[in-house]
Amino acid sequence: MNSLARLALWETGFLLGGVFGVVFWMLATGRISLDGMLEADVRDPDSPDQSGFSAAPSLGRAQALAATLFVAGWYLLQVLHNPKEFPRLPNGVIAVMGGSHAVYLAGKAYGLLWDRFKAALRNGG
Amino acid sequence: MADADEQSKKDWKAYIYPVLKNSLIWVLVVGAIVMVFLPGDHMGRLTLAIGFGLMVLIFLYGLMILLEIANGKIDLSLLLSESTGGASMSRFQLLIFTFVIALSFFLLVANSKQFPNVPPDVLALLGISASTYAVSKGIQATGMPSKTGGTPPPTDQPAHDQSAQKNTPKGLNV
Repeated sequence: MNSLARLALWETGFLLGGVFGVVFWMLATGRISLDGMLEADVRDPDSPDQSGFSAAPSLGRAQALAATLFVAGWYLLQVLHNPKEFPRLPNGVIAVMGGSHAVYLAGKAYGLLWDRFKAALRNGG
Repeated sequence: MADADEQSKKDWKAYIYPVLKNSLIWVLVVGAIVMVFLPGDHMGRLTLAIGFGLMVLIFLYGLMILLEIANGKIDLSLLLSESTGGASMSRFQLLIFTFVIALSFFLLVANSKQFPNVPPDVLALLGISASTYAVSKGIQATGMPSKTGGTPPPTDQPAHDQSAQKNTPKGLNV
């Protein structure tokens, strides 16, 4: 039974590593595009393509990316240092994550929905 | 169009059937080797044979999916894309956290040889990440028309004037 468990471990490692490897390779070679990840769509009546939207650099996205990479890296380091149990996350880290993502969502909602909200108010709901 | 669908079905069958057939042959071969050569009582050997057979089956299916992804038959090029084009921050962070938690889980199982306790912190982290993705999709769907059509951008015009705007270029969905 021990050999079966060892085989399961190697197999899972191979398949998991394979998926990670393929996705990261596609990210590195640009087959999965990261273009425009730090740009937000905002309403723009004068947009060149007449879609009513244009892309603008977004500080909210930049800070969400930084917080994500920081927390993910920190968590992975904790696991590598003590691979016996899931590391405990300090409340501060969860607060940073929640706050960062809330700011990102608020920025996105402001960019896409604020004019619609104003128009709805003007038109009497 | 119908020819293309038919051809696609034929390609799929031509590819999938041999793989399935070979998978089952491999499972039977491995099961038979275990049954014949491993020591132990009949029940123990049968359990091991089924276990090894399932491992081989899962490995071959996993490998097949992995190869399909690698050679582009399973297309992941839009994995991080918004419906309107550019890459999505919410999808990217969900991908990163999914990978980190999956890798952590694997390392813990590999080291402790048992199913680890999942603390609420981890669930909170994944919850924040997945909720961000869901809310982001909701905002995107509400506020922006997709490429296939959807809600037109609102204007500051009163409601009764909006019918007049419909035929202007800026009122059209793209």
